[in-house]
Amino acid sequence: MRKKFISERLGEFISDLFGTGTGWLTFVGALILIFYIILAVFSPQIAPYNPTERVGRSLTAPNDQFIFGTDNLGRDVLSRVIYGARIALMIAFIAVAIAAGVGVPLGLISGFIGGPFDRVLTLIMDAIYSFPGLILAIAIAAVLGPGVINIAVSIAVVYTPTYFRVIRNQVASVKSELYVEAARALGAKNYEILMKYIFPNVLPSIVVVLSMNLADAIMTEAGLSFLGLGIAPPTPDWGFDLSNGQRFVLSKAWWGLLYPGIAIITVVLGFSMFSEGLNELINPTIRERR
Amino acid sequence: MSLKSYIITRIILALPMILVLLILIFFILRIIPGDPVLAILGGKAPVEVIEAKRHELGLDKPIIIQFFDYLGDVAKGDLGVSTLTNRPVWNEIKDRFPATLELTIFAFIIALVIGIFWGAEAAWRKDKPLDISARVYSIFIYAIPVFWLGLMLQLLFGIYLRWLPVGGRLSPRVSLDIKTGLLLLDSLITWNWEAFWDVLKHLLLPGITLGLVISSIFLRMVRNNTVLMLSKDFVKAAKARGLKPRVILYGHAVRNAFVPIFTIMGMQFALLLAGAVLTETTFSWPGIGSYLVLKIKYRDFPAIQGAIIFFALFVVIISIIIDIVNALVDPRVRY
Amino acid sequence: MRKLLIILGLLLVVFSFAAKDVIVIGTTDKIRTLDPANCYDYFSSNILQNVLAGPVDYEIGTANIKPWLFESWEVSDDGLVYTFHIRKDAYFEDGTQIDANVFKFSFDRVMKLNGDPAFLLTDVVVKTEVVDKFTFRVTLKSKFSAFVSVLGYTVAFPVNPKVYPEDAFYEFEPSASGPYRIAEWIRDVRIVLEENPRYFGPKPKTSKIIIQFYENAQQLRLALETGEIDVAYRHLDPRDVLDLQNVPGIKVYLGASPQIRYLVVNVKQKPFDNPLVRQAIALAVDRETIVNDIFVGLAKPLYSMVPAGMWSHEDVFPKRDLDAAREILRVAGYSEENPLEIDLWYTPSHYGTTEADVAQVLKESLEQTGMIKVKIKYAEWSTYVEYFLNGTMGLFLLGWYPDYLDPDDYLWPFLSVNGAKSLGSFYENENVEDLMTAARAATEQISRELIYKLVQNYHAAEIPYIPLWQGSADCEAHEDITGIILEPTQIFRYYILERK
Repeated sequence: MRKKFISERLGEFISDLFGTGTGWLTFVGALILIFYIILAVFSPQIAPYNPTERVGRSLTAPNDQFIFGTDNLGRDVLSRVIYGARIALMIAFIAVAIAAGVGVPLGLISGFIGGPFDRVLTLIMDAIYSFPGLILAIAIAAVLGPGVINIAVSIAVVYTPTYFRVIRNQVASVKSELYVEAARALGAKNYEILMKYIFPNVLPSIVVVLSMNLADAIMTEAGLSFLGLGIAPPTPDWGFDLSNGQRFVLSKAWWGLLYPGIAIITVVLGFSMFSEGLNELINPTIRERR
Repeated sequence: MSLKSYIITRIILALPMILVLLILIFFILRIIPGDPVLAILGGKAPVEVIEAKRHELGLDKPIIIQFFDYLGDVAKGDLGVSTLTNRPVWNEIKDRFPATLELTIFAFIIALVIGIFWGAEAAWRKDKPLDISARVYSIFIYAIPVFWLGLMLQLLFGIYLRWLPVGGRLSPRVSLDIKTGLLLLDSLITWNWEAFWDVLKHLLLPGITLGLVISSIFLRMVRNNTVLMLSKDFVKAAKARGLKPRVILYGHAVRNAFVPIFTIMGMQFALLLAGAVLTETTFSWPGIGSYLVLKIKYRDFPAIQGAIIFFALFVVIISIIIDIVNALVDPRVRY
Repeated sequence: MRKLLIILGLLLVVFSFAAKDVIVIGTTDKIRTLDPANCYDYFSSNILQNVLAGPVDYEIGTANIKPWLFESWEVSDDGLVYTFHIRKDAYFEDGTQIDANVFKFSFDRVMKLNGDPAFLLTDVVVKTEVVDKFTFRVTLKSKFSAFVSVLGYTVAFPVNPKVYPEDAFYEFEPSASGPYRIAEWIRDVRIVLEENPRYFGPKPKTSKIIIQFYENAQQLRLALETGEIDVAYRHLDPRDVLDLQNVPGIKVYLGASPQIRYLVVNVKQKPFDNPLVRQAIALAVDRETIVNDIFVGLAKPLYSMVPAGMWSHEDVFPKRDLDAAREILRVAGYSEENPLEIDLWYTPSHYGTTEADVAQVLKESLEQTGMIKVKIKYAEWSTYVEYFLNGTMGLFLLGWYPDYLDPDDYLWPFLSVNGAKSLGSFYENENVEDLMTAARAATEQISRELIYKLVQNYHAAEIPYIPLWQGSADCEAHEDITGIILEPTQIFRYYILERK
């Protein structure tokens, strides 16, 4: 058995509630995602204020002018939540790209050539995999220091083994299939076999893992920046804004805590619904149910 | 293969994994741009003092030598000395570990209680409001970041209602004879009720926060398995014999649904630990998780390494134990 | 189900009682070590100052030295040899008498172990001697008039040779010789202090003090408001301090703090090697907004490295003037179209939670010239220290907490060549260093004062540092607690606290 992605687990919960194969769920998930992607891409146009500039009195409760209120430096919380989507999605996409970019080729090669190389690599990947992901990410983020790429790398390290394992195991089983044997007998080169026969076979799993991985990446990023290991302030970031908001709970400034949290939850739900739908669409049989 | 040799094999198989983790941790932490010596001494110390400190900590040796030194020490159970406090890391971890253990056990119990009772009742009333609310609950509780949940509970119970403390383990005026470090247990064995209530109050919010997050998985497992069991013949037979519904539900269905639940407990352990780091930080719980976060701020290498190695060992040991117990409980899992 | 609810209800009842002979102090500071040989952080030292007796003390509420374990002392004519006479009725809690041998053991141990604060002794002391049982002699490397002040710091506090190993740091409770002894120490949770019956001095006003440790300012404030603690000392957020001033039953004490905060400018790095750039930045920084918005009036703007209130202080830096800043930037060749682009660095946890906010305000204030573009960067403390030592950072926030209260400690560490190197400004001016050396040797305060004023003016002309603000010390307590004095020496004396 393996660890499950947050979105995978959520997918199970969601299909428990609504039943499987509900296309509208995927649709709702996709809508949420499109909403956040639009927020991220067009944040300068959508956000009412500059998110890093003082625009009102500090800790103003939500009112007509600032519908989500202002933070301790008089910055507009709504604008920060909108811009926060940018950082969250950007880091998540980069992290997933790196994890897949490293994990998939390694998995392909390792599964294909086998032998001691495969065994050592599998051991390393299993070691990383067995470790609580966030704790590993914390250590690496602390080492690399702040910065979008650095945070993305620390998240990517955690998820690389997942890609590796999924791909490696599939390759190992596919490579002994008859058509691969036949291609080999016909004198196809290793590279050709890998790209022509094996890769297309594992592609659907990659897509599914990718889509499921995004919610986890966003959650991990929020955790890292909550612990003060995220990107440098004043760049708007949900996790950082939450830990900053925590300083003012006694002033009862709940708006600094509520809205970034809701943003994280909805985006994670959106990804989960979407990937659940995608999973059922692409891989109706691969799912490990229960 | 006998059980004994299964256990031995299982442990031997874990060794290379631990070694790989040690190597990873060591080298990852050595490429940090920060200098631990400067972090300790600050900008005020003269150059000679800095050099002396570096020598004292063995940081002037080649990295490979440092690594083997370290490996040897770890094998001897020596995790080095914290560069921040000059205390042996092992002592510091030993001081803090009971707090993490207490929190995780408490959270686990909360998750189990929620999971079993809500799950069983939901299965009994399949597709009724209680069941549907359980499913809605699972979705939301799982999508919520644990630290945000903690903050919201703090805001509600600690700050608006002022019912519960939002941090720490023990009120200053409450005295308690500390024996095991598990304060709840300590207060029980010394019959110190005042301390018991106080400790429990402190444990409640962080415990619930962490417990809720993993409860949804148990809830789903119990519910779905119980639904399955309730449709089985032996349940029907029990019904026919006129047994009370509660007896059928808990005595037969839930009990039989329990084996797969036990398996998944082990899987949740890593999740629990990661959650513990965030929960401890949110609630200032003086355990290993907040220890790690604190030490990272000071680039206290030996302490960070020690904490991570401790986590690694903890995960490996728990997974071995769970495998073994599984093998004992479930005759289908054979060595 | 109902039973469960009743039990839960019981659990939620908040216990609150206050014994008369116990005072609880809460803090967010941490204890690193209680070994004087390695103790160099504020809170650990402060605990030691209440648990150990030191060679000399300060008169309460002042910075005037008074005898403690040393009844009297003589200094040789050349200023190098100090002979101290130890009082004969001082013991550790186990009955070990504090005599010259104990002092020699302690001093030698500090210098041998070479812990964090050891340089305070090793830099000046060349030899320690036991003259007779109650006479202790120290020989210095060179004349150093502030030596007796150094003895007021915990590094010079004697330790019990029967408890402290000679060749290793000691990680447990110290053997008490001061007003209190440590009855219980649960690390990171609390320390319980009890009256030390063997202490030779006056009895503490309150026989039991509990120090409870909190992780953050919110928890500390909540604990104070709910009555869990009587006194909150160190590190509430400025906004909390302001809020608490309006909470009935709680009294806020404000005092001076010797800490100063400033920007360091690396004078060897482009574009900061251009004095015009430094001048423009110094003119554009907005101290008032920092002080009023972030510190809600609990800090004071600072216009020299020597803090206001200390002798020889002079406001040598100009007030904010954006037009003048623009003018200078234009002369330096910058314009709205071709702005000055700089990085501004800060470190997020070392100076408390407000640091990111300070960086943000500084960025805004510089950008208000319309001719400067600022990028904010940060690094955790250890990385930060490395970056400023190797000259990576050009403009960064730093703070200073003096080792002794003298203008010398606000100027020498910054403007001497070695000092400037160790703080990342890389400023070099031999004239200034000569002036400061002369001030160290001078005996008349008036001539030292003149020299220090001159040095401050040199500093304001060349701007290797831009002073920003000086902090204030604060303490919050329930009204029934008396005896809270925020001293210029920053010693917080638990033994004069009392519940009325």
